[in-house]
Amino acid sequence: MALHKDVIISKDAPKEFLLEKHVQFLTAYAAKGDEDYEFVITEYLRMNGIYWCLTALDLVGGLDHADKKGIVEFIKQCQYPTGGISCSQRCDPHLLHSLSAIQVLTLFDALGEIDVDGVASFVAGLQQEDGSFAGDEWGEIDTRFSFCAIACLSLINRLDVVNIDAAVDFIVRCMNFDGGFGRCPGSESHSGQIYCCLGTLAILGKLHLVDADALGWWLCERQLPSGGLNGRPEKLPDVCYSWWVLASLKIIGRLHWIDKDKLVRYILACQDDETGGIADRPGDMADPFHTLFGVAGLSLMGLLPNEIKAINPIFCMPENVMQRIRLQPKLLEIV
Amino acid sequence: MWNIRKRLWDRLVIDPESEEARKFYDNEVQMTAQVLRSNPKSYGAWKHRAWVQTKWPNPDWTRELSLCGKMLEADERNFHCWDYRRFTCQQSNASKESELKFTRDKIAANFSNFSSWHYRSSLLQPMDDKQFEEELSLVTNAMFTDPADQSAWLYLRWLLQSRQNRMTGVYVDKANGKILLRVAKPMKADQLGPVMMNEKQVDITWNDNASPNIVLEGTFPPIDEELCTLSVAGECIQFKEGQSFVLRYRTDFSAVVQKTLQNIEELLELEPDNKWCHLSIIDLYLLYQLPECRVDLREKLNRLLQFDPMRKEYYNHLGNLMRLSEAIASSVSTSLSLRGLSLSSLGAPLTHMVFLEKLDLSNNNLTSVEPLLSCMPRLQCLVLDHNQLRSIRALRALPSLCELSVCHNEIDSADEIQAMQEWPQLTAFNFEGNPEKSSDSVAQ
Repeated sequence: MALHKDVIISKDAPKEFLLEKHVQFLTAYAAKGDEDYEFVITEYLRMNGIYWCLTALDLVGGLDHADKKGIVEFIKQCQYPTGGISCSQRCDPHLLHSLSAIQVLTLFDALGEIDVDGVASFVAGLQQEDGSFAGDEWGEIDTRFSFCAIACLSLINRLDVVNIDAAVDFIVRCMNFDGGFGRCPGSESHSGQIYCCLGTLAILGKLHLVDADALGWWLCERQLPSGGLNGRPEKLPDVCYSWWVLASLKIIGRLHWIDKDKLVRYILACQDDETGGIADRPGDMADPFHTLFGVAGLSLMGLLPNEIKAINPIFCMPENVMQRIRLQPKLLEIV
Repeated sequence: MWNIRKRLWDRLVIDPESEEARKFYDNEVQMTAQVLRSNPKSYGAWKHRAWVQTKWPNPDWTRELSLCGKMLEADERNFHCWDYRRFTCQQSNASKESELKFTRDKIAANFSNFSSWHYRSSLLQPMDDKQFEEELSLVTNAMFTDPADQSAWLYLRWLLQSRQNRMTGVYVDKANGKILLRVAKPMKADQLGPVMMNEKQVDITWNDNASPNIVLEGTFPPIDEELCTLSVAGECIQFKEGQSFVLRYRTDFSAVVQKTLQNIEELLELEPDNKWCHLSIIDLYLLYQLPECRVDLREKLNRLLQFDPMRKEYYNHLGNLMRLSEAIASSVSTSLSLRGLSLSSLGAPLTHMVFLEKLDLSNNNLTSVEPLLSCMPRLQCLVLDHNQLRSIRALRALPSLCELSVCHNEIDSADEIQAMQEWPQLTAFNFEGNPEKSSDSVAQ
């Protein structure tokens, strides 16, 4: 028998958007310090965590609660002489963290506080001959890193430092039989990688290279009877795919190919009505990562436009910030 | 943490042949194995193990393959493990045949097979006719064993697509030395190899060699004789007398594909509500232009709308593609009328007609013609009357456009209309019947 993995949404699951609770959850998370167990064990993603919390807070109008000065200071301490930025003061620089840092500084309009040329040079140094990008000096190649590199450079307006044609060429070589993209040439299509590749192509104005009909179909097939989205065939739904699949569909102009009402119902059911925040599945523990992507998904679908800000599907940053810095690459639009 | 271990290795392992180095190697191998047992999806552990192998003169690839085998038994969808397996095979020059056998065994044993099918799709490129028939047989078997297993159906779709022409639309102006190729998958011009016209090699200067594209444009020294054949990238394209353009969207409908259709229809009798059967028959039609009398496509589409309402917008789009396909049929004219077809979206085969010069899309329900913009370099005249366009700014991407009509649409920006009027390329532009308001008019 084929496995049909999915979840059942109980009738007690939350049905309304719990905005106040989410603001509380995110603010409390951002305030954690060295005495907290969770703070210590999540050091390896501290910078990403800050980006998730702050972006989510901004989307629900709670950015004022953040300690802007403290965070900017923290980011400055994480920049290395090579220009790269690490996840926290004791870790090594990496593209993933460099992008998160640049995104946060852009949110705060504080890019001038760090050595931006240094970041550009760090990123440029990670591009390989075949156009791909390594995450750091140890050479792991992944299309996620292509996205981190190109997004980062476009935010600081330094796309001139890398070979764009080669970068595009590498992405195209990662295109699979189903129209999707994997992490390297030959790797299986995966929604997260698809988002990264589409984001990269959108920034570089190359979306016409995508087989949008084939990919759009593959993406809309991620929607399960519960309304939630999975990341690839025969996998369980997860709220973070409400972002990666949805943003991908938006970028290729086929957002209307999924059932919005059912997905909204799924995301709302994943909220934790006691602590606030959003989890991967109904009933699980909430965390900032899933909170951001759940809220971002709701934003893309236009839910509660007076309470949730519009989000940019390429950069996963508030659209008003992208307007401010005049960076809104074109998307495909068939409707 | 993994980085610290790498730095230590680089500092401490001076002689890779030494006994001491061997101890380090064994230790890293054991350590990563331990981590992977409890955390099989750790990016860091897989990467570190791969890195360690590259530092060692004689890695035991058999053991690495065996590790992959065991881990895939536990989780056949672990893409880290599949990627590591591909890395191992590449480093050790493992044969394609052994890998094909591995995936075949996995498919026979398991039901969550998407990763195995995916691996096969990359191992089998390019595929000859015999392999194609074997794969069709393999996937048909899987379909019958478990008709609800979507990965087999996805693979079937790929198999059928893989027999399509690489070049779907071709235009050659031999007198002026111009060539246009519409390719099914983006590629760079220098990947095409030599180009032959009437069996003589032609020296083409391509407009853009640096970046992959879906339309390749080039120039060449004009030729006098009648153009009969064009050979490029292993495909031979025939031209009729006097013609210089070809739409190659359809492939010959071979007996093998005919048999596949019969199999699916047989399965449909056993499982009348199987979504994949209905969808695959529509796919077969769109890819191969099946004789319509055998298949009631609209009925199939209605069934899909009934049992899969979540994806109704996709099925509506398929309906548009079916109408497009029927209307275009075997037309290879440079002038095409697609009036009044209730089209709300566009796609193949229209987007392969790289040689189109005149296109009439009036009296439809279009809000965008986006799919045309990057594949109609010769389009001069475009009629879009009586549609639902809100914006026409994007049409300036059409490099040859000189006549445009967008009457009776929903363009509400006077600025856009004005900008189009001022576009020097346009010699004729009609726009009456639009609600355009000036940007400085006061809202009532």
